Amino acid sequence: MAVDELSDLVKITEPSFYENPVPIYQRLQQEAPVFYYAPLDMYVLTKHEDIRFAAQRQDIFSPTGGLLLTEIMHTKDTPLREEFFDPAGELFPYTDSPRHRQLRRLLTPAFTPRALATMTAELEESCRALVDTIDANRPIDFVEAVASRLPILFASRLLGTTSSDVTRIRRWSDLLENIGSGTLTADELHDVAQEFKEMSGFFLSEFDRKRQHPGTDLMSTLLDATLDGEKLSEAKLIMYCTLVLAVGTDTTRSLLTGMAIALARHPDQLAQLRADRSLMPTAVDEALRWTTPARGFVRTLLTDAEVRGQKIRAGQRVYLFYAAGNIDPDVFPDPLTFDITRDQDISHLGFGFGPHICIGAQLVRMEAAMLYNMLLDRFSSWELAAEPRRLTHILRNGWHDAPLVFTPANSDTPAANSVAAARS
Amino acid sequence: MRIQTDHSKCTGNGLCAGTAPTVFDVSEDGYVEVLQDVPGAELAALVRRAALNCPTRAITLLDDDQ
Repeated sequence: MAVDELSDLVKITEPSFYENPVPIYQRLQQEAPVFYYAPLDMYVLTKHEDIRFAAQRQDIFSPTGGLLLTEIMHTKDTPLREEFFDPAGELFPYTDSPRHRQLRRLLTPAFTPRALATMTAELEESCRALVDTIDANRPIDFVEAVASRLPILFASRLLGTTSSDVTRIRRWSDLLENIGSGTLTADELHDVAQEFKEMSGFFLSEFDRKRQHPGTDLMSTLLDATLDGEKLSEAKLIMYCTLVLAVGTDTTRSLLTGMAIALARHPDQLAQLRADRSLMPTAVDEALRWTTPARGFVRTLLTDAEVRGQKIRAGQRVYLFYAAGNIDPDVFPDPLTFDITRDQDISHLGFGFGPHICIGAQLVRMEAAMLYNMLLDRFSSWELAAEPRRLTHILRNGWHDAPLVFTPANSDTPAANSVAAARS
Repeated sequence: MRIQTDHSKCTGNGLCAGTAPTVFDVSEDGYVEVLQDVPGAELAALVRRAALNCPTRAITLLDDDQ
């Protein structure tokens, strides 16, 4: 039987490709690690080393020509992102240094380990309140009950918004998530963008309130910050706040859901983690590798370059395929095995790499560890009550729902102090 | 082993501090801060890992004789 040509199999812009992509990722790594994807004049990188190289060399591989496959697919007069974000806001994930550094630096101090440590008690309170809502012994939708809520609660606390209307904020986050899905036409995306712009109005009223009652939160810091010698414009303030509240929360939802599902499918590892919480950091990173919430991003070459011997010309593009890099056997032995004890000497690409690496990486690790420590204190295990439904999406690896049944811990289980222990 | 950091590359993400918190921190000005320039041998593996995974290659490790 003839082996199918890779060019017939690699359909990275079609949502159905992601129903069973792993065998194709493996073939790409073996047969064509720098694969030419003709429809978009783009080279698909699937080896961890190559992805890291390109992600790090922003002097060659620039995000200015678009980050999402959908943006390259829907080339119109107005870039897709400008339908969602006012260009005056200078959406910094799309900028090169030195501008990228200047813009990003206004946000980084809020996400350092030191800054996050000052918020731990507050964040624990949000997390505990949410875990308290879980009913044991009957199916609940973990996405609706926990995974979609916690990231929004955390981001709201970080920003210092007066309202944390989770349902409303999730709606905006979901609208924005459509931008990368590959399931909507450009016209449909235009309509989505119009509804998304409601979020700007929400932030403007938040800014008014915050100006009158400033605090120590990120929104107050941004309102007080200067760039280019002046206070931030409203477009920039909205850009920053939207990144924190809408861009970072759907990816985290996907991670938290992926971790719950992976542990439910591996009850031995759930029990092992419950008994030994020192495994939490490696378990969270394994869940990041396993889930890879953002499957990949695009870069455009500023100069001619070579990757693994393949010449690529200025103006052509590469796709940093994190989902494939995260199962690269040269970096992760036995890569298809979920293993919470996997000690990653070379880190997964779940947060990307290079100067554009996820700004919230440390927050996300802390958030996942906090949640799972509390869940394991409260419950002895959880099981899938039905098969979770995966999103139809080319960028996001995520789930519409995750029906789980939680089994309460016996009252004699000595696990109550693990959250405090993990924090110290 | 001695640690050198390059603030012109550092983006202050703090991944190094997450990996080796007794060796690295991010100061309030948003750059990596080395808490011990010459960490003990027991920390060598973690420090190597932090350097290897620094997303902007802002951490360099030098042998003791360099």
